[in-house]
Amino acid sequence: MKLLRVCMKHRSVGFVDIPEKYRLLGGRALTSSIICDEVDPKCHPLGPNNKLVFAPGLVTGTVAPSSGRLSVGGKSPLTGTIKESNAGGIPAQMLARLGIKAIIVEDQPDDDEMYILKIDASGAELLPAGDLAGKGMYEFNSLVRDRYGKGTGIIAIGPAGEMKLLNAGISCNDMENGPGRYAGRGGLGAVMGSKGLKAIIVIEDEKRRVPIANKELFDKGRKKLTDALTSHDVTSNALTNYGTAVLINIMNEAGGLPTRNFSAGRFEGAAKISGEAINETTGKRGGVGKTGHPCHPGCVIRCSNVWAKPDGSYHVAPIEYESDWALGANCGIDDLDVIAELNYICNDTGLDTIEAGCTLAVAMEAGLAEFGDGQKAIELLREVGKGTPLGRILGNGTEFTAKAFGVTRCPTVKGQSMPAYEPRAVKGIGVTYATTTMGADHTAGYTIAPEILKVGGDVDPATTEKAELARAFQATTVFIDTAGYCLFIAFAILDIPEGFEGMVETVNGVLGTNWTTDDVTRLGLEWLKREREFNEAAGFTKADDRLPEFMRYEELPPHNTVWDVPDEILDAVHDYEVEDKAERAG
Amino acid sequence: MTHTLRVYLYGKFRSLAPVSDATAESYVDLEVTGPEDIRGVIRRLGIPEEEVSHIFLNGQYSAATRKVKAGDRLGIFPKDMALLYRQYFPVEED
Ligand code: SF4
Repeated sequence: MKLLRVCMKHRSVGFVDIPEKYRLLGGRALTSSIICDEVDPKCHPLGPNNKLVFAPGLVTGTVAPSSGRLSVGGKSPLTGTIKESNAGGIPAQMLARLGIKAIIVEDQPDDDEMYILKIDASGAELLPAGDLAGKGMYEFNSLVRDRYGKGTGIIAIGPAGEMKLLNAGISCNDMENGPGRYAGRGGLGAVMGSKGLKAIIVIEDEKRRVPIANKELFDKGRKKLTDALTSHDVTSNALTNYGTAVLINIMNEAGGLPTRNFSAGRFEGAAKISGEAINETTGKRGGVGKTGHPCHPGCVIRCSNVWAKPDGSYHVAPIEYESDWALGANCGIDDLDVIAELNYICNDTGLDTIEAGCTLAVAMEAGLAEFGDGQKAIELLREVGKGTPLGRILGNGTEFTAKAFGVTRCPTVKGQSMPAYEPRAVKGIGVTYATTTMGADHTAGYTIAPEILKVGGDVDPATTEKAELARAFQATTVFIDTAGYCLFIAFAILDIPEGFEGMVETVNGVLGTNWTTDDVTRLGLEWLKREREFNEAAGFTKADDRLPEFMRYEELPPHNTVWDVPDEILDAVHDYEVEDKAERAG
Repeated sequence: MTHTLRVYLYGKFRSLAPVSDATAESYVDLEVTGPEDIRGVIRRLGIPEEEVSHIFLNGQYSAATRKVKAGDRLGIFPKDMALLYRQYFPVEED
């Protein structure tokens, strides 16, 4: 396995051996370690000193189930923090099989040209993007397929990334060559644009395998993990049958589905945009629409879908929970075809759907459209790709738009908009939003629920176990992102111990290590600590680990609660002595 | 004064409601006459308890042992729709 260094200033590429310190890393731990080692935390995220790192997970490219994730890391222009964002799709597995452990893109060209990095079995080269520059992602992907062949892996940015807008994501193509698998969060697409890199194109012209140190152990682990995934209710039923959008009805029932820019926790139109509605409509329409679809070969969970227009022709893939909510309930929109169109525009322009939906909702609050006006929302979102002044405001995300229009109900943490769980209704997730290294993010893993910790570092010994569980959960998340597994395996492995062991065994099988399940927590926390240190060096303090002020004074119906978790509790989340204190007390 | 409890049904439980439509709200209004817990309501609906996953009483993630009263909103999801990290949803008990 090799590291590929790409210098955009000199337009040079070079393969280097993996330094020993990175040998046992992959995915998120690798992207974050390289960023911590090589990037000045104080650098401008869109300047020459930031770097963009792409890394498949440790087991990505093998036959381990649901493991085809690509991590992308850098300093985020949206949050100013370190960032790891990961995506499914086909390119990660191909990169891993070609023996590439990471791609490090550095510096930037002196001109405004866009380039394409082409990788195949014989090496890598930078080519001028030529007529491919400026293209929307759907046209781009189909042109690349025409020129480089079916099954080409594509990692690319749309016009939003080329314009260096703060809400630009990085697209990975799915099995149908659609651009809908995004490493969306944190504006890393703008970093790619700032480096003049339109795309990485991966051609697997020679079948190779990811080296596996202990095949027997790997197979044993793979089997245990597959058994867990195919027997657990969540990973074998809910996600496969209804997709992640099954959560629309669940969160609505919980009173925690953020509605009309986080002004209510229940949406009267929820049923119309639910996972059940997607499933039923897809079945009725027929054509190319599907549910229970994998985003890359080898996913046994298959949470993805393809949404068809009323005539059965292709519209967009996938409509997943966060997008459905952000572009739907959060904008007061209850029409799946409108949501699909908004999602399509995001995919084509190269925008993160969560941030885009929260931005539209803030724009609606500002009076640019009525809540629920789907046609106006579509018009507004199209402005982004056109690069008009309004489009650039919207393309820079929720906080930027809120500032531009004087909106105080701005649901962001560290500049990044919240995903689809209302923290005033689900306090535990609010703690996660406030304290992750990534800005408001639901994938960063559970931290510590407020009921566990008491103010003043005083800890009830009975809660030690819960605190440990919480910490282990967060560390496990980092480990999953590092191994290259889809985060959805967490449901199964946290409930089924053999599944957890299986996951660790697949990693040990690939690396030849002897890590135990305890090591997962230890390593996960170690990697997390490095990310926090980067943020501290970038100037972040505890005072940044806070939710927006309006949540403290605006009651959220139907529970009519405010965000009342004391700051001391948020500060205690990363106080690693808390458990020690509790143990001593016990 | 309402004497009923409204039960929102999801997935395959929708067929127990007068309007069973995946794109609309499916619910039944049940008379509450005396003290009853969620388990009793589930039984009254003819749903085997082991087929139930998430239960919400007035938006709170709840154990089946919680008491219901007239005016409450109850939401019941089948097993094949379970999708919550239990860590984020501590179960409310009475
Ligand atoms: S569970 Fe869904 S997102 Fe995860 S790898 Fe499978 S299809 Fe992709």
